[in-house]
Amino acid sequence: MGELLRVTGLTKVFKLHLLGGREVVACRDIEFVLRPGEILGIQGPSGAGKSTILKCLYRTCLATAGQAWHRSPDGSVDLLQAPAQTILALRRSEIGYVSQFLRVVPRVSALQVVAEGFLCKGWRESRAPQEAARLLEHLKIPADLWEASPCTFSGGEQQRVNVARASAGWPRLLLMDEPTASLDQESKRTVQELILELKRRGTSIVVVSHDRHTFNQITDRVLHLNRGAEVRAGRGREYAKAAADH
Amino acid sequence: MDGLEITDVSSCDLSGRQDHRVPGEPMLRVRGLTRIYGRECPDCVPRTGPEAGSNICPGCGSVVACAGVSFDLYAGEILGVVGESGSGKSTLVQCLYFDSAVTAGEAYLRNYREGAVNILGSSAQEQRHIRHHLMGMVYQKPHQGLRLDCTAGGNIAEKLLAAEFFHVGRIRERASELLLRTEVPLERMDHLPRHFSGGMQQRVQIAKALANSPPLVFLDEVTTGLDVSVQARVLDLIRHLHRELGLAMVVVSHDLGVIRLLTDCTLVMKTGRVVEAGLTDQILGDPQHPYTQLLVSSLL
Repeated sequence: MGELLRVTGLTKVFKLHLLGGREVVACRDIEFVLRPGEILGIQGPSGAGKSTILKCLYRTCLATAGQAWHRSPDGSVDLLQAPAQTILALRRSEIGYVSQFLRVVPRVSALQVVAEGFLCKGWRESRAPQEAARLLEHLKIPADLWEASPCTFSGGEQQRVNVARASAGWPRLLLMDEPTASLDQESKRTVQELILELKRRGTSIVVVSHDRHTFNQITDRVLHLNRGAEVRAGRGREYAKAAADH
Repeated sequence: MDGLEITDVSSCDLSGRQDHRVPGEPMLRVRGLTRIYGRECPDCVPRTGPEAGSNICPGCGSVVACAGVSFDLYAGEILGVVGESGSGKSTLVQCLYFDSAVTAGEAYLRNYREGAVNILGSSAQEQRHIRHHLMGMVYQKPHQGLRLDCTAGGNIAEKLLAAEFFHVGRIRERASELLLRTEVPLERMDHLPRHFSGGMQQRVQIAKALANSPPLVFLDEVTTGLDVSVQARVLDLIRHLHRELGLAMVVVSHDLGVIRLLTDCTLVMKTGRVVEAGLTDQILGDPQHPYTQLLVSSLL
């Protein structure tokens, strides 16, 4: 079956120079494998290091130790060590990231924000806006908002634009940090459907969430974290059952 | 897009699509760039810097504006340079644009003689040629980059003529196209920039810098002093032009918001040294150096 991503010994220690060099361990010795087309969930209490793992993989954070081998069509790349230009190229072509909060340039329309995701993955200038419109439609963003800047949107709408932007062009690897936070039930369902659609199209996903229901619906396996260390890994449904029994 | 064909820079990607592969060779390589103002002594570099907490040499009183600055800039990439006032950001781009001579250091531009020549050591004549054909500069103060008593169109024509583009009819055509792109009303083309608002002067300056679609553009604090609506407009314009023309840019700013929105990679400077370099979102999200942590934690 192969693997798309192999993470070993991922450790992140933040050194806070403003607090006299105090060190904070965000996560330690994280290990997991992500297979093609699989959805892996990461769960744990706030501060357990879930987001940090995703940030290290996307290189918003510099890992202190460990390796993360990503199998790209051009060969394997260690996401924790690769040069900045390689990471930039991977971000443009095959790795997407849904951050907890959307940050966009003022004055750029929602449609353009999402279309740029398609453009940088090599879609034609003539096709990208159409594809972006389809994604926004799928995520039930009202069409009369598409020309407006997402800065002016509600929290839930912003979050869906965020998901749309990261999904644009169907990346091979998608890292999602709380994709359903601040969404109502209806919107949660549409985001879940999009995630499953991404999986059908071959995207492999690592998703961090507090939302147990989302986990049960979409994940194939779950990694459970506690205070930066991995405590248990199991299949999504088994985990959900164990949690329910608990 | 028709007017863009006048560019003589073949590496410029006009289709608006970026190359996804990892760029092989940097378009600009800078190594050990150093600029000292003053008498200079052997102690200047070792006795200044972030550890010393100053860029003034205790031995001779010289100012070490930049010391040992090295970086690579790839085609189509935007590099940010941040740091407090006096950290050497502007000196760095002034040296690279040949406005200021260097004390030491080398720079190689891939588009000039296959990157085999140190352009910082080239003759003044060669440097003029490189500057006119391969570079563009947008200064913080519009009067540094514009002739305020020469019309907006005339300013753009000046840059095109310097780049050896002599077809007068097409120059006018190109000027109106650039002004349109930079959202300067066309009826102001024959007016003097002296009578323009600051934001409009800045947009004319950008039009001038980009007139011949140079592959490398320097932007020095371009939004400083503009009100926020104009600032957003100028940033939006720069992003658009970058994507359409595939330019490489060096953006100097002390505004981390501008750096976050525009740049791919960032250099953090303090007392003339690069203290940290990396992906922009990593620099802002997980800064490593004490100074960068202070800078980011001070962000509003």
